[in-house]
Amino acid sequence: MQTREAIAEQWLGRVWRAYPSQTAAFLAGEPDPFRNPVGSTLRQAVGILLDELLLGMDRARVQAALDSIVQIRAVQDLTPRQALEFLFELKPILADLARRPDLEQLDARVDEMALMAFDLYVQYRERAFEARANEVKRRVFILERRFGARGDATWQERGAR
Amino acid sequence: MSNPNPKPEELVQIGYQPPSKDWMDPSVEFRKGTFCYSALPKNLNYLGLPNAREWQPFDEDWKLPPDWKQIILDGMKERLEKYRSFRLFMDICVRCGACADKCHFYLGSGDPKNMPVLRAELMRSIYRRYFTPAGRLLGPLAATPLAGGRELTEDVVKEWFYYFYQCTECRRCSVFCPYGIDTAEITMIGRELLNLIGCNINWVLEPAANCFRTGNHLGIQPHGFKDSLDFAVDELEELTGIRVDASINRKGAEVLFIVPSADYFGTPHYYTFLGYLALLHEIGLDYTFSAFASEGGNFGLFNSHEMIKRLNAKVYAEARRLGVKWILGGECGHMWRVLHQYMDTMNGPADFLEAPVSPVTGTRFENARSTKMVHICEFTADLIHEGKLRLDPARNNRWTVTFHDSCNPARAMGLLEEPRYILRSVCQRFHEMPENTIREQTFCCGSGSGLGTDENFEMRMRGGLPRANAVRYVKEKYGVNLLACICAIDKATLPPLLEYWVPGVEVAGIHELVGNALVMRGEKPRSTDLRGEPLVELEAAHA
Ligand code: SF4
Ligand code: SF4
Repeated sequence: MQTREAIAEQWLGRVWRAYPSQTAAFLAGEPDPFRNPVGSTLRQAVGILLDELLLGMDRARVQAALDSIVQIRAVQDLTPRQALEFLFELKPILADLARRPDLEQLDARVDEMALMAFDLYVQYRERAFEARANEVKRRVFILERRFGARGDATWQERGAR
Repeated sequence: MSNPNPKPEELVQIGYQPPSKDWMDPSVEFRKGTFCYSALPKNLNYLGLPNAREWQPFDEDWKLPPDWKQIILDGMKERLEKYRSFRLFMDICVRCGACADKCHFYLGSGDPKNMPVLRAELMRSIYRRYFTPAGRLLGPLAATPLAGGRELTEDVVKEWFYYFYQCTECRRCSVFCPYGIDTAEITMIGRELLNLIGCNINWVLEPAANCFRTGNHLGIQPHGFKDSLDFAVDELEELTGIRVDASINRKGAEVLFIVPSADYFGTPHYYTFLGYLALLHEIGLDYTFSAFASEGGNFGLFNSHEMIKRLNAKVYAEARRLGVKWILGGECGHMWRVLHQYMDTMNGPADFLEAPVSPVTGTRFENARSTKMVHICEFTADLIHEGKLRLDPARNNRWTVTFHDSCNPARAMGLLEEPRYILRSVCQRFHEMPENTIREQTFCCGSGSGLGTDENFEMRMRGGLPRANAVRYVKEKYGVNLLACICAIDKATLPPLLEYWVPGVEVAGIHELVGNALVMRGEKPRSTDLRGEPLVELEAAHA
């Protein structure tokens, strides 16, 4: 248990450090989930991922935890690589703390999580794209219903090159 | 690498002094998805604004006028003299940090320059360098982090553009500032100054130009407005069996009714529009629309004080021309900020109008005595309170509802109880979001003040996260599937926000739900709601 807590704190420390220092302090320190949605989501999800990594690797729980992290990181100011890096940051921590035979299994599990996270990342980028497209349609809902889609450029479309 | 493993207590040592190295380097990167495109030259020309040209924020050369620096400094000087609040806000911040973690853009993006205190510091540092005795005395020497001043460079202009168009002017931060500093006002001044050198965004200027030309954001001409209205009247008849009379430009009507134009073009706004038509017919209000004041929204608010005034002038002008007694306004956010806080001093006094009195209940709206303009939620809440409406809330049983306080009605007008009172009367299942995310502390949709553009989508998702997060909570806890609100921008921008963060929750205006619940005299048995969806029986009703 000692080890689990130690890994969790180290891992979270690395997750926070992807953010500027003032922000890292806030994300790590503010406990109210409504005042600090990013920090509390990350903290909770990291805990779940770690439990599953060390115990049963329940796919549904892993999926849900990854989902909550990736949903946020897919629209933050991060490249795809930076968005998913947090999983790989676990490896050196584990290498320091785990025994050899365990390590191979853990490594494989981290890799599996990374693949799941990759799928989710793409899924969220697509969802953002669809939400954008649907928004444009809603703006001229009545025009389209009245005249059918005539392809007249709306002011928004004309405006945004 | 430095200590990879800082302890929580090390992390928590935060200072609200600007971090020195960031201040030496104002450069920002314009990454796609996080900024708004520049305004088209034709819109600047139409509005008579300076430095119309082709450019984009990601261009190296912004083609600023040669004397841009002097223009900004002169503009700042003029505004420091004109607005006492501006000078005060520049002087009195003690960097206590109470506002720092209150901005939705900061919470969602983690970018420290989105802390309100640092957003204001972008301007304050220039103020210190050029407008304080110490700054003037020290000259360039004041431009050190220690003295808190900075040189005004082109990079600072770009940084202003980036961050002042990353503030939705929502005023949440001001609720927490012990000195009442309103960072939204600083943003507004920042945008005004940028405007002087032609750095503006199209999403603000195109609607403003359209509004100036045709009276509404979409540039719909009077016959287009009439067609839309006729279309809505026909649809309402199909739904309810009742043909309502909705007139335009009818002289001598008692009331002029002004709504945001999205109400008759966009969805889900349109259903709220149907709700208004049903309600005003049922109570027999003698009202008319205006084809010129066919837009309550005022994108001047996101541009300059001068532009607010120009676009707002049509409201009283039309009220006078049509000879009405008072004005009723629909569900909109920033429209009400302007009507409530600016209209009276900018274009009033409207002493040719009368203090508004509801012809149905006799209630005198003392709060609108001066502006002569009543919010439809005040009007409807009064009707319900006086028992003038027959309502069947079961018709909204499809929905489990929560309410998003739109920033402007909540924080700028204090319109907190009326919408809730109406909701509780027209639907059976209503649940509040957590206390620190509603009422005065409400979280912005993340897309207000002209930032709701397509190209700015990622930034909007970041800014809207705190709002969506609270919606998710009530969805999981109570099964909420509808977010009600009273702002046209919200109705446009919350659906994509929820589509991304909390799929399965829809968005509606309050008067859509009123229209559903309203039992109209002579109506046909209703089998659908205003969206044309079948009415749902609650299981409890059968038991
Ligand atoms: S007004 Fe709103 S968006 Fe602007 S700094 Fe304050 S909290 Fe942020
Ligand atoms: S709360 Fe007010 S005084 Fe404190 S840092 Fe923010 S703006 Fe300055």
